[in-house]
Amino acid sequence: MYRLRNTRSHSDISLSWPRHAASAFAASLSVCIVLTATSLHAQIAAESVRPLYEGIGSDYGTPLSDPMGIFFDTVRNECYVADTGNGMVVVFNENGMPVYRFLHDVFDARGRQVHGEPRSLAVDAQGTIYLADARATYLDVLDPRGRSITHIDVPSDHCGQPERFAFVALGPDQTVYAVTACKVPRVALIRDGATVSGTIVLRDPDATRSCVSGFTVDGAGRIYTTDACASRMVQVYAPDGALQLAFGKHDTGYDNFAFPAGIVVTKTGDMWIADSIRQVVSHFDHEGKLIAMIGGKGSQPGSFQYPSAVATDGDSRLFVLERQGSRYQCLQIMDGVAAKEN
Amino acid sequence: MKKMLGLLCIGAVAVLVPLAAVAGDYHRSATLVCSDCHTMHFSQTHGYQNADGSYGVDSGFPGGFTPLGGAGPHPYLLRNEVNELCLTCHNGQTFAPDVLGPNTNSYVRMAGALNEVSDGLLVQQTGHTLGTTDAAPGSNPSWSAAAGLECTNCHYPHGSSSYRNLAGDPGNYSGLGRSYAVVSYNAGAAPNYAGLYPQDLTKDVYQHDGSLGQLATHYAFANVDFNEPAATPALYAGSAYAFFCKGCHTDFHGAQGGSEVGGTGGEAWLRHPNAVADIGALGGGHSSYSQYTTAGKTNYVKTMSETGTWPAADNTPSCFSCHKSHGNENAFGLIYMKGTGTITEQGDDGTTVKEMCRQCHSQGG
Repeated sequence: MYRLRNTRSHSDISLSWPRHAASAFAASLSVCIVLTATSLHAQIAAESVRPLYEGIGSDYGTPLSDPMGIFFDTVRNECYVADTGNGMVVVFNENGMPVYRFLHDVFDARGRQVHGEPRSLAVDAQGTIYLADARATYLDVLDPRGRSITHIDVPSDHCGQPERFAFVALGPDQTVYAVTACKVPRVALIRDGATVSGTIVLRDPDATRSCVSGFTVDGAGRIYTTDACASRMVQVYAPDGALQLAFGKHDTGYDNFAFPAGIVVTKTGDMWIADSIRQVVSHFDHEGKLIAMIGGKGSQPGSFQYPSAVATDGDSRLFVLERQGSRYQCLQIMDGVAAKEN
Repeated sequence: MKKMLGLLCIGAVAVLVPLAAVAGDYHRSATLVCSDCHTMHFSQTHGYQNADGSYGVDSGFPGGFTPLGGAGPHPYLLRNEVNELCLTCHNGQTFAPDVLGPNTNSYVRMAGALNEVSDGLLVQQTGHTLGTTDAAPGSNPSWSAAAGLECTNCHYPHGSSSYRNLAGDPGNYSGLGRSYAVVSYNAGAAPNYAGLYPQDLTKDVYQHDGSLGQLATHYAFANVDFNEPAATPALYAGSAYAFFCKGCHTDFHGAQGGSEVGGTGGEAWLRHPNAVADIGALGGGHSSYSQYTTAGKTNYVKTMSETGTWPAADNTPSCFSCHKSHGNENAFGLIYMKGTGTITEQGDDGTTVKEMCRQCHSQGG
């Protein structure tokens, strides 16, 4: 268990104390300020991850361009990246080396075949790829070589008007979950790899509109979304679509968000949420309580430049994709105390 | 007591007037917060001092991270350069209009398909190009964005009373001695039982559904039409929208009789009109109303109407009739609309400029 809340030793506090304060009042005031700041800081400063490697593109001449989607295939230990700007999908091995790529073409409203903009993807145990593309209304089902097998259209009862699948995730029993960007988001369930076998309506009673910006499903079929327009920007739904938990305001403050752009859940129930504007990934427990933040803007290992999506192996590895950084990083989720001791 | 009431009234006016003065889509009120785009101390996450003496959020990695957020600081306390900041939400997201690259949603946008210098997606000259320092075509005096064309050259990030938060002083607009540009629209009125907003012929733009609930509803081609308010000619010589465009593209087009169009010195049309030229109203082989309303035609380029009817004899072309404001895949963002087939960002089944011209003109067979 890597959860921790106070890794910073209180001896750090004394380093900031004004040893030569001019007055007792000033000293006492400073103590209050430092204690307050340290208390806040202690909540967020958990050292809970360690950088392992990064993937930067399909080859040296083709770096990732505005990548927007990432999925980790636990069967083959491969990372699939939706290289949106290059219109392709790139597959990386467990060391961050590209091993395969394919262009994704779609059919536009005229029926013309055009270069796509892959946005979100999931891969099942057989290696079948489910790809939501920003330029297509349908979900493209592809074989492991990237050849289209079939298209799955948005069910007509989802939005009542033209819409597309926004995000896709792999749930329990290899069920594929695909969410549409309707006013009230709806999730299509795909169990046979070809047809929509059911629909879940995500019901957030406080939501006046939906701006789903991140989407994942845990092993129990609970659905997690981030919503850039909601009053509480992270939602956890029961498998039937009933809202179970919502947290995180669109406001300043460590446990709030500016633009949550991706969410994953580990088997402990902890959530890792990328904030594309704040340049961090925030770590919450299953109750929505902030454990840690990692990142900060930069190009060094562990820093981020506009994190756009996250993925996980469900256990000890976290993958963070960067839209402007044009890379993804693999981070090892550590037990915070153990990490410090090491 | 009267004094108290007076003060209360003044206070109420002081509170309400700014609210009324600042309308605009999305970039206001509770939909965005200041810290989304601005940072007080150039700290991306407002981290405090770490144990090793550095500042920022402690990632725990060797060497830490750039303390105050990488490159910068940026003007106006912004978190990033203007275009990059805007594109965080306006590129590839489902909840905000995607302005970059080809259409990335399943509905047909009124705008979209901006180019970006060296982005490789679309060639330049197919619309506006972010980052370009080229002079705006037709600008008089010559105008270019010294720092490269930015979103804020055309849109007010904090909202405005104009349609799509359009800026009030684009390009040379202020320098030409014009008053503040407002492209008015029917936002803010109460929707009817069907969720549709009432038409207001005194406004320049008519949004059928004014709610922001869903992009496909709000920003779609079919949701927007253009009026030609009676007051508009006096204020903007024909079209508030066109006057906005003329802030940069000064001499390209104009109203009938205007110096930009011709009608002076005995010359006929020198440039295409953007206002005060009803289709087919002039004889002599100019535009043709019967051509505009050809039987079997289902798609029409956007035009302005005084009566809120399309197609109708009072329809007048303007900039948006032929150009998609951000751009598309066609040269100069032209809308190749033939009149039949599925409407797309490029037009419809039309594939050539001639088909677009023949929306209103019959010459050439």
